[in-house]
Amino acid sequence: MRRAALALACALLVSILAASAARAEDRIVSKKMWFGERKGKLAVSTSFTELLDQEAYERLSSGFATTIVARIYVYRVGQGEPVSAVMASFRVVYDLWDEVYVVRIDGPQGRRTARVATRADALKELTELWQVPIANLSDIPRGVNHFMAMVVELNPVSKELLAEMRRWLTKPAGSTSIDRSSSFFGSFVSVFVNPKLPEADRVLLFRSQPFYRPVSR
Amino acid sequence: MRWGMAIIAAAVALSLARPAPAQNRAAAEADADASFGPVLVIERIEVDGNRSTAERLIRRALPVHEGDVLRAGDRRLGEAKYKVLALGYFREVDLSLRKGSARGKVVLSVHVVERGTVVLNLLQFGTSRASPWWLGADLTERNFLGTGIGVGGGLLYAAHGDIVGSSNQWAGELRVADQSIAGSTLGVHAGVLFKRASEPYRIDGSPSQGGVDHFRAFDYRRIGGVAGLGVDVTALARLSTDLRVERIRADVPDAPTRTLPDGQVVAVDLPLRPGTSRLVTASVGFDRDTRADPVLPFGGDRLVLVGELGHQLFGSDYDYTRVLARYEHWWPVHGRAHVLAVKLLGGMVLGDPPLFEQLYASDFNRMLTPRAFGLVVSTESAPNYLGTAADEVTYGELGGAAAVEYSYRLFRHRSRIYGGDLFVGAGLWGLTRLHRLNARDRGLYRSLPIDLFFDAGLRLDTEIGIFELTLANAFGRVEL
Repeated sequence: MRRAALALACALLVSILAASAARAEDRIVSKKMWFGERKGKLAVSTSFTELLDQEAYERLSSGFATTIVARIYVYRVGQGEPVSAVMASFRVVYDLWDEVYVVRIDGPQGRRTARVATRADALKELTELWQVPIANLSDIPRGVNHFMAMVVELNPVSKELLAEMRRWLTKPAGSTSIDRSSSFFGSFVSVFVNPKLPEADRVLLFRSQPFYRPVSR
Repeated sequence: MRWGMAIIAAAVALSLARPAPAQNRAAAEADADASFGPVLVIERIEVDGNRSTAERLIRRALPVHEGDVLRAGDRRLGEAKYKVLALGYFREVDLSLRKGSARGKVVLSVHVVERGTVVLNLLQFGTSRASPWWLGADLTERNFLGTGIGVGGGLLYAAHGDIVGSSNQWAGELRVADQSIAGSTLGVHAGVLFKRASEPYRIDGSPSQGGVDHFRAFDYRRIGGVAGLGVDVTALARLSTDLRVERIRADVPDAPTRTLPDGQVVAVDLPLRPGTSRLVTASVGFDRDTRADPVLPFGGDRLVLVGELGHQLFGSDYDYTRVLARYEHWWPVHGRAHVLAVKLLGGMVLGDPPLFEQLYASDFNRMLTPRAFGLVVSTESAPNYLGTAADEVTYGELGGAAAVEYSYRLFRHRSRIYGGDLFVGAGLWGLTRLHRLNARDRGLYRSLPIDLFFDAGLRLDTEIGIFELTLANAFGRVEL
């Protein structure tokens, strides 16, 4: 029993150390955003240029499509459930022969396609929200504090593809069919070179400043 | 047989009762329009960086080929990198396009960085009253000489303890498999095994008395091989079939008996043919795994079904049917940080199986020391928390377990230690012999030796592999 307790203590220690080192990855970035009312909707303007690092920026010219998916939630301060949720996707591909960037944006305002000449312009199209409707005004009562949270993913990978990529973990080559003996029932411990296969090239989490609709007089 | 069919039906029903895994909505919607981007003709595909892996393996994995005409936004181009990564042979895959020889034509370049493909599948070691120490390991080279063929094997040695008649045990296995013949969904696999076993059996005492004085042991040897085919029926499901042939030589004691605590002497059933016998079986298996992360799962499910038949028509001395089913489902609750899982496991063996093909208590109860490479290395019986005599059965023909597990996401990281989850679980397990149910002096429910088991521990996904540190076996050794 003493050995078991020691093992548990070691495991917990490793976990806590690793957890404390890892928390920085999941940090939510606070961002000042513009909010306004537009055609009966709450609209937001902001940008998330920092999603693309230098490598990702250069890959905009690779000829492969780059996809950004933004999920936007409006919360009432102090509540756990969002009062509104919308999604927007941004795609860009560089036309190697015409040497232009083709951008397609699907969001609450519908679909918009643009062709821009420079990579910088493509980045701007990809990472800027301009007066995008994010909630019905009827869902945002006056005088109540709200905030917006946004999850932005660069080149997200579908769950099916992720499952396919890590499938060999549970079916190591060389095993004979579906194991009948201990491994059918047993737990897993396996040592191998295990590169990280992320769910997206990069994920950022943003939170806006609190805002409210003024009480009308 | 009805029980077996019921187990399979229940597992399939559970699997089908839920809709197909919802694709990542964001990615799906983003990829929905394959008409995006200019039209491209793949004029040529160039591969570099593969020092030992055959180029044809990489080309086969790509969802695009030379001559294909597609839009730049086509999903196949977007997935190409991940399809190559899915081979499991590369640390990095980088794809790029450049202009080809004429307008609209492009050259696709694939740059790969290879990784080590040796996997330590299993490391088993321990100590018990029956065996002072045992040690075993199982290794696989997943990309043997860069051919994509997996070659693996394992070896285990267990020193004998003080049980009268026991001897040292060891087991070895060699395997070879090509999961994808010529890039098709069809795979082939084969293996050989050798096991020298020393099987303990109880001669007196109650189940709680695990001392070696209460046991005798006898030896048997197994040598044989297995060969089969597998086919990917979907990207996440595989169907396989096997033919297994083994020669068994058993030194079964003459008329073994056990003296019960009340003084009654009963015969001990050791189902192995004395001398030399042959085991020939055919089996079919199905495995579907929809978990995006099989190491630290937060959603999806896994279904495994195995049916095996041994019959004299095949030349077997043992006629039996064996059915095993496992279904596990994970749900994120309150975000991905909290995950609930339900784990169901069941099995049934009918007919006249050899001893080692029967269901074993540790197959269902993680608090017991598991068989090491199929060899029994401990004589400890299961805790009997509920007083249902669950500790009396070591081998059985009908068994199952149902568990609920909660795991808490400790952290996720992009380097070295990728993630860790703490987990706690509890469940019910049972194992019995069918004759105990058929010839009973009480109701069916009271005749079922069902008991509790508990588990807790830590799962880690790291750069050097995956680990599960569990306290289940320690819990099993605590006397209440």
